[in-house]
Amino acid sequence: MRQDPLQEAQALERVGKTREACTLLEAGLSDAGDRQTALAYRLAHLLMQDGRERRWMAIYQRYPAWSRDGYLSLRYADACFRLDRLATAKRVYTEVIDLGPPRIADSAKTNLGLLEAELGRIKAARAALWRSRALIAVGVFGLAATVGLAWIIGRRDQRSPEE
Amino acid sequence: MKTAAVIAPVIAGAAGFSIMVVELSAVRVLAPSFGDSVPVWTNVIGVILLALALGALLGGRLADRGAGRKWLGWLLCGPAAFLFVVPVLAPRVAEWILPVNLPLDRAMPALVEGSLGVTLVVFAPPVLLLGSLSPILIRVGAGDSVDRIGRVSGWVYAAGTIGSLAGTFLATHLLVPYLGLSRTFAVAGVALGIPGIVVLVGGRGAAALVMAAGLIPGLLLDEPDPVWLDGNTLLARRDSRYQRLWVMLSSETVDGEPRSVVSLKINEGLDSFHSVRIVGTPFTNGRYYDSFALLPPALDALNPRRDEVRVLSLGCAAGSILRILHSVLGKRFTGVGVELDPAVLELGRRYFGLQSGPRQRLLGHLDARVYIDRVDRDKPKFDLICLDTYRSQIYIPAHLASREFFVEVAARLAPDGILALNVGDFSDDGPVLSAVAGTLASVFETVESFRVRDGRNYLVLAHRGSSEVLGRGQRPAGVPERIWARARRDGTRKHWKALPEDRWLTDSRSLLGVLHERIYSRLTGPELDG
Repeated sequence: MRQDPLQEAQALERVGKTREACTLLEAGLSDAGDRQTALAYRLAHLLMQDGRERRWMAIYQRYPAWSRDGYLSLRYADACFRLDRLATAKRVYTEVIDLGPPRIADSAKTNLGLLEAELGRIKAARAALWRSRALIAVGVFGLAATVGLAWIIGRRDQRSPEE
Repeated sequence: MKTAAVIAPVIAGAAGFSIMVVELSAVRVLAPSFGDSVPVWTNVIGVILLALALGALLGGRLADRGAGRKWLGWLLCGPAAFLFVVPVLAPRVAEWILPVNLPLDRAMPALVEGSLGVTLVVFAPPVLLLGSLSPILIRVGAGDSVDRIGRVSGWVYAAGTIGSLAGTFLATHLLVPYLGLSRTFAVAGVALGIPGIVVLVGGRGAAALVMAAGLIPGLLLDEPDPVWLDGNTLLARRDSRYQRLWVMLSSETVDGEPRSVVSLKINEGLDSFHSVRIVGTPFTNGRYYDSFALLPPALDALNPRRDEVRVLSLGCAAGSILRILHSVLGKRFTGVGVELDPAVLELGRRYFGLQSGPRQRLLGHLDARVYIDRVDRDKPKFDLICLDTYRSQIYIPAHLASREFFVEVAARLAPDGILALNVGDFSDDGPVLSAVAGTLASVFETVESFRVRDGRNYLVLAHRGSSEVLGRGQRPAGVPERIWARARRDGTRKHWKALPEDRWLTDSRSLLGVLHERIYSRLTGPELDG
């Protein structure tokens, strides 16, 4: 008789074989029936823990119904956040806050706060970049103006040589 | 006109000296704000060359229009006065550009373009004026005699080049290390100001006044604190021969208790650090140094009967890695730390508890490649070689990540030894990690990487064992449970195969600099709308 994929995955996890555990859980998703959510929860947790955000995003997008699950959507938003897809992450966090349950919504609120702070840093970095460009323009203009000004003074000098 | 023919080379020499002092010291002035990366150097050299070219055009024009002593005097005194202000002006302009505490990966594009802007506004004007001197000097020196133009121009160019030579060597070896940046610029200013005033002679007090006006802000204003200090305490600030060094004291919660944290930062600093010491523990609260604690058990997996572990730390800075390895290995540890900048070792001894003695030797003034090339292949080999050499926060120098270098390192490593590298990248398939690990795998049988918790660093191991050794066996005493548990999960580890030969990083062909910039230029990457 075939073992429950969740238990099998947990056994693999205990010996550190998290990659194999993920493969097993992912393979079990399609015919898991009402166990699918439990498998997906564990899979999301493991993939995010191992830094495999792209894989989790790809799996999440295969199951549109998961967008109504607070936890799975929260982990999807976390993956988007880590991979700099900030607009998507922001949208999904907002949806999770509305979706609940309360504990998940609280996590989403916290992460949304972190995301807003990151957005602030990006905006500050962009502003710094524009200030740099403004300074470059001033510098180039200044060089050109210095040459032009001295050129004009040089012409005056010719009209009244000092030596 | 004979006097003019003598004075012309003297002025050319002074100008050449000052131009090179400005060029070399400009990067040092910019480094605390923008770093001293290759793009920053490129910006400085490019702008200085542009300013010199425009100055030469201008000078030629002025010479033809009859510019003489008066012009020469002002073209010397103007830049002289400006040079006194430069060391205080440049950091303030930089502060205006980067007013917030940006993390390194977000600040990167602004660092490159900001350094260009500051160079154009602060350094280009005096150099442009100095660049205009040569044609005028030739004109003044030759007078009306066309026959003398060849000799005078020869003298002017020769004296200018010799002055540049003096400026180059003195700035690097004497002025900046012993006088500091502000006084170095003052020396360059004086070198221009004295001939400037002499040329203007006879009570033209205006030039002296201009110079004095330049001196005042230079004497009154202190250099601002770095933007990343963010309320923490600055324990030390030092301009070494190589870089600006900062030692910062902050506090953070470690296992529920507040602890003092001493960090070594270099140049622009930002959220990057080069050594960390947390009072009361050898570890660093999850920073990448802690992952080096996984190496002693990995060595034991390759040879469980090893009594002594000879450790070589290349780029040891203030000794964070040596300290952690010493703590895990105990009496089995003997170590050699190699660091290019001896001032870093000095700060390490003073603020980071770095010690030298019979079990730990520290060597300064040594590039890691130079050291490796000079270690006798026949002497007892190292069991563990740790490579943590970074320049300008993010760049592993290309000569320390080439196949040729890895071959030399392998020759100094015991057959059951490990080479461990700290590699900065953001994902398991990141370009820098792939290039370094893939090149290493062309030299060593087994190459494995471990993703450190902070997500910006990887510990890469290379050895001659036939299988992976990271996180194998039982957790030895001294290795924190949290790190061990993470290393046990195969999802945090990756095994690497050799890249095809045409993609190896080599001494003559290395894209490492470009790859580093690619991973850190994420500013325009993220979607922000919505």
